[in-house]
Amino acid sequence: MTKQEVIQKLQPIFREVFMDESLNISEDLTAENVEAWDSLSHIDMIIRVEEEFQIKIPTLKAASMKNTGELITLISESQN
Amino acid sequence: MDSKRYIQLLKKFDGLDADTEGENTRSSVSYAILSNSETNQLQKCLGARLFEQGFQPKLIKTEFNNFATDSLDTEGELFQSDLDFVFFVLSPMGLKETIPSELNERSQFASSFLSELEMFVKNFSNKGVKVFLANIPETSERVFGNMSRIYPASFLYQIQAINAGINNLVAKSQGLYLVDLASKANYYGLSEWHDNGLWLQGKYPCHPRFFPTICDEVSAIFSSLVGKIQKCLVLDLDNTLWGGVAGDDGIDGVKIGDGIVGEAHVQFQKYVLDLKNRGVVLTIASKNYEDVAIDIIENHPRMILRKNDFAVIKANWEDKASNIQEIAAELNIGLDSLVFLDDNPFERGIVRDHLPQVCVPELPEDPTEFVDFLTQLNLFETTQFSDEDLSRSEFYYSESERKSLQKNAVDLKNYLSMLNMEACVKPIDEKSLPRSVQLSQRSNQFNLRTQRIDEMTCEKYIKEPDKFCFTVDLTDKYGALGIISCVFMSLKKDHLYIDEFIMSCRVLKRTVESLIFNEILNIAKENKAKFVVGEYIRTKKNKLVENLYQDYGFENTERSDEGSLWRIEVSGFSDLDTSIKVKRS
Repeated sequence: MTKQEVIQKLQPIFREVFMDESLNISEDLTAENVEAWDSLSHIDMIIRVEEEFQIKIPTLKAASMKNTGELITLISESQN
Repeated sequence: MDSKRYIQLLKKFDGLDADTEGENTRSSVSYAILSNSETNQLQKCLGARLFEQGFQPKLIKTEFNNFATDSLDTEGELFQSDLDFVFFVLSPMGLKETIPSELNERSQFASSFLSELEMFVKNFSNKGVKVFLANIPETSERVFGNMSRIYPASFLYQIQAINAGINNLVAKSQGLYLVDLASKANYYGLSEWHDNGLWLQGKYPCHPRFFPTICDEVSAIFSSLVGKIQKCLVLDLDNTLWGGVAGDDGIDGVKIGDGIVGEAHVQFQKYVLDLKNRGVVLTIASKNYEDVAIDIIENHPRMILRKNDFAVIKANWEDKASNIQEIAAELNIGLDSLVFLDDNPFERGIVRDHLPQVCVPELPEDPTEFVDFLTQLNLFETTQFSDEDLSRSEFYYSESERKSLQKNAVDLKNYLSMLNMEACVKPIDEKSLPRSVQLSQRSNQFNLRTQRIDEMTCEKYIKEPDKFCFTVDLTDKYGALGIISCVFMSLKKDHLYIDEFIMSCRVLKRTVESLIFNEILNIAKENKAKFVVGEYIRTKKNKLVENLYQDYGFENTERSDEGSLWRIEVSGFSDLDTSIKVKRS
């Protein structure tokens, strides 16, 4: 799956979990830029991503992601 | 199960402030969750769930792992907030962190934990805050292998002991209610329920996709406590109670027993019979010729449920919404206490559209899934079982016989005298307490002040010298109706005040009311009160008794949109006629 395809599927999840209908995903998006993105909603987001892409994101990776780009890369690679 | 509903509930909670749907009719519920884990999201989900159930939730926020200090600080926010209930949910992961590592110190873990827990919960229940206490889902950790369940130093053994202790504590205490999370976790599987990564990362008590399930249980218990109870099942016949279509397949063709579909329907009927024996009233609404339907019910060799198991059978070609309305009217119960089961999505849709108060589950197409589906819906939650529950179906069945007699009897007085009614009137005691509390919680229509008297309050009426209460236990020629009314009163200066007057609508128009007023006036007289004062507090459902006091000779002293006040002079009162023979004890 290309990164662009991942972003397309990721966007509605981010908008729903972080409750911002105008949120646009980019690789350098971080929790700093999103008001509702805290440690709890981060977990919610990871859970939804795991379900949507049928993958298990290792806890340590989930907890240490620096930006959305890392997540996109991880998903994109898992879907090949 | 995925986490979509979890996310929806979170979203719903954050939008609650702006959601004014039905805001005037919602009763507010103030709640808090106490835990040794992170429950921020669970607290929100519960609020959203309570809102879905028709309440206006008010969350008193608590922080991670403060359950001990929050419970002990009786000057703190929780104790100042007029809480309706507090939900204790404890994670086994959190408990495990507190168990001593020395094996010989472990055997006392459960008992010392339980005595602390008892102290915490009693701090709330003593103040009249209802406590919902969850038991602890087991963990799959087995240091001692297959010995774990019987070796006291194992953590699993200690969880078992804590859960047994929680059962005892709830059973012996007033105002405590068990939330059986252990069964829920077993049902979904412990390896799904627990998530060690999420525990370490966020101290989540379980995987959050199960938060909605937890909230379903809690809100079901709370709803039943305030009288929102489903007590009657309305069943379709073709492809619901049996496989196939009666009118097409005939008694020899419908599938009951024999083969997968037939066995599935037998299993389903047995489950429905269990519900009936537990006190759920069974009725039928089916598009069929009545004689064809009754022939199968009475004569098919593999039928489990028979005609006598149903209080009302509507097998005809009228629309189901009308039939369901008639069922509710004949049984004198509200539409919101009905659950309608039908395999046909069209019929379900019609009923949902016309009678939105009726609960209409999306029955699965496959009959082998019926029982499991209904079990998980937990439609008939109750916090009290009483003997009356167990015989209620019998009552409702004879109620339809009583009604047919009523049709034949030309005049009401004559009919009533033919019923040979006897009433036993006596103060509430330990034996009648559960039923009295239950009546107070469940009755909506004949309920003058809707005070929802709980066990603790009821005890006061039993013990305190200036408080009075009694129950009326009725029998007639068709059998025992059980306790159908209770009255609570307080003596104040020159008058006896009726704090609560509740009667089951099953016995309307039988002169029970007259008997009760005679009793109340008698108590007033014996205690030298000059007046009896009664109040009507309006709710959405008790219009029935709006004019009760007026009808029985009280004069109006105050009136507003919220209700009215009434009084009657004791000296001018003479006993009202009744058709009931009274036994006093």
